[in-house]
Amino acid sequence: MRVAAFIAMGASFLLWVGLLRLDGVVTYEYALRPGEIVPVAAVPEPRIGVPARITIPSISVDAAIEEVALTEDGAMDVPTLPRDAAWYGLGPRPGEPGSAAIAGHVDDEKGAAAVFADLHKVKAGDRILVRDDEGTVTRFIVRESRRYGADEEARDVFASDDGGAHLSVITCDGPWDKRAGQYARRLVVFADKAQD
Amino acid sequence: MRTFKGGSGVLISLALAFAGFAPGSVHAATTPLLGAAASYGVLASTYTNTAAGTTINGDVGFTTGPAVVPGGAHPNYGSGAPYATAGVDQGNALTALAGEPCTFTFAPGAIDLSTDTTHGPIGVYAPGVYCSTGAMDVGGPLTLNGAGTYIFRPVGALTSTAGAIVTLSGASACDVFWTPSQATTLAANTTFQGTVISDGGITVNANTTWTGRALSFNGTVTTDTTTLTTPTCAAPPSSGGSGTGSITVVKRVINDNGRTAVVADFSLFVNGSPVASGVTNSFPAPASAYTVTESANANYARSFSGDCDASGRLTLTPGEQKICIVTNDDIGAPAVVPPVPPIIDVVKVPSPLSLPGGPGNVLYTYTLRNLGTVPVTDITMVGDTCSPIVRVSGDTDGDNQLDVTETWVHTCSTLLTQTHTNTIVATGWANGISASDIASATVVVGAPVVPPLIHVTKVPNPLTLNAGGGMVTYTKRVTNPGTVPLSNVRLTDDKCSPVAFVSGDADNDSMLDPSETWTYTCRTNITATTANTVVAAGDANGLTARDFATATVVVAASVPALPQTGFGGSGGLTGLAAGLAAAGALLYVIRKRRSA
Repeated sequence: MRVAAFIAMGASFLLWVGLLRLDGVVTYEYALRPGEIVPVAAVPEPRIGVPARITIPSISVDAAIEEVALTEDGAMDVPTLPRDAAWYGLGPRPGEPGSAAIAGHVDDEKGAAAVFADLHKVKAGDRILVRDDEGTVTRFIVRESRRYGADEEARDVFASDDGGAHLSVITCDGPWDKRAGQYARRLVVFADKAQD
Repeated sequence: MRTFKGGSGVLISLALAFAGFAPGSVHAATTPLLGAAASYGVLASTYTNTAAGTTINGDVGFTTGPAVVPGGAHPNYGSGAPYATAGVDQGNALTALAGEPCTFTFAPGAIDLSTDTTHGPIGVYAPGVYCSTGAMDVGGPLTLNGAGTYIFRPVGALTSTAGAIVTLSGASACDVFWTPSQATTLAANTTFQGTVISDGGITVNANTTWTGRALSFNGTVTTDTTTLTTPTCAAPPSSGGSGTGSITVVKRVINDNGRTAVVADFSLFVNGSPVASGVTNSFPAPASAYTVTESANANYARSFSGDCDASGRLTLTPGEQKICIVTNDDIGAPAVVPPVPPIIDVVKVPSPLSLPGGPGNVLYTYTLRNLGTVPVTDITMVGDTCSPIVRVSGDTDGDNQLDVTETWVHTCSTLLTQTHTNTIVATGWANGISASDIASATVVVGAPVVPPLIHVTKVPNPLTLNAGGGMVTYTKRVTNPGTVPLSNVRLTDDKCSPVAFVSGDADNDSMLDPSETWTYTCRTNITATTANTVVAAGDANGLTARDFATATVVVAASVPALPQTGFGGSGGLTGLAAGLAAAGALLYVIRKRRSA
């Protein structure tokens, strides 16, 4: 009787395991017992605060950062003051994995130069520094500049999947499009977090 | 005829394990489930019928049809649905038949079933699996004596001699199968019984009367003044257990791109029979061909998880309990901001866990928690056999939302007369996304065995990601709500690997004790909205307990449009100057006219 019970139990377990392996399903099964697997050490990640100030020494920019979200049209919003920059708060913070976005005006309502009027002068290798609200500074190195149409989808500006921390600095560029009431292009400076 | 009823789910392992408490049984062949093929009298790639006078009572499936349409009633005719499904199910049935071990093997070579005396009385066969290494011929009279499954498996052709008669004595044509590896040819004036499954082709000569099916999905079926009638079959008999297993289909809906469908908007089916999400239904077992389907909806992408495969198919053995999760993710306007998904958790504990003295009352306690970050609304609890399920406490602010800080307790009492596994499915909503959790608990009746209970939770971090995705860490916690320590604790995750044990085995005995919480983590990169399912299992007292946990991580489908970071600069000034100049010119003209 005991043997019969044992066989039945074994059969039921084998059935159960076997059934997990139906064709076309990728499953991962682990018979895990303590001691068989080395515990995972928690990787401490430095805490990154809310970005407060951006500095681009090569064009003498040193500006406060406002936090913005989306406009009703689904575009990244802009800073209220022409001298300020704006961080897209629905995305990662500068220094976190992913692509953080910071935008600033190229000019103000009177036509005077705004915070990122000279962004087009930034070259690969230039430094961009972002200080958070706790005083921690994250350094980025400019990789490249790229121009986009005003309505072009700019996935690379807001998204990356390489696990690295990136920063996209955005302003307006190109001729003024009277009909659209905006500049025809956007200039984006792409920077990567510097390896300490 | 499929039997189908709500409310008698039985646990997988129990049936088999409890075979140990019952008198020993001898293995007998079982009738496979034919699925969609069951209604076909003729299933072929090419169906040939050149003479008038053929009658087929049953569906007729083919891609190349006959010169003369047969008479009789055949609701499905040609290559329309469920023709293709029937072909798949024919294959599954054949596989099941081929897996039955031979109970008698003839001496090598061709054999005349009607004159053989090596298997038993001449011309008389008992239920069993008869195998030959050569062709089989029904050379004359042949009697199938007794209820049970008959399988004739020649490695070679199947033939009959003109005038041969197969007679059933206590047997059913539903349970007779012929699976030759080569062609089947029934001579004129044969009276035949059972289902032939063979892609080697089936030829039926003049004036043959056949109760059964000619299934040759990839081959040719030829009839000639034949009368073929598909039998109406009850649920197939089984070799043990109760002859049924249970299937619970659970629907998940993710509206992360603006659509609004709810669970009730999708009609769910198991092999064509309608089922409701969360309700446990029993189905004939063993069977290798259950398929979960749903009403088509082009606005949602569909995926399967749990016990069913990527196509929604699953197998069922007697007493087994299967759970199939169908997830629908909407296809719509790509969202920039991902909605936060809910996570709920339900634990079920029966009291008592066993009724060794026989039938008695059991009180189930269901504890519902919110493991996410947003309140969960529209909570439903669907149980298979116990009602009513009454909420006794937990909604402290009386808003009928399961808040993050709340724990709702429900109870339900029922009389159990036999060992039973009760399954509950809790579902709730937040931000257009549903969350479900499934809990099962077994109560043993009539045996001094305490069944195991296991419980798993899964919480992803983060719950949402912007377009492009990123790394997600899933933390899984496994506990034992029962009273007996669990051995061989294992986890299966369909979307994350490897799962690593972190901590929790306080006494280091490799057993999940009732006081312990074992923690596991898994880290993976995801790039699109992902709903995954983890299954935890553990063993005690010869029984296996399982629990499911599901979690959704929403990834935004789109990025924001680029910001408008300029005012027109000098262009704006130029416009202003031009406007001023134009106004000045106008004033000048007006003045000039007035002064003129």
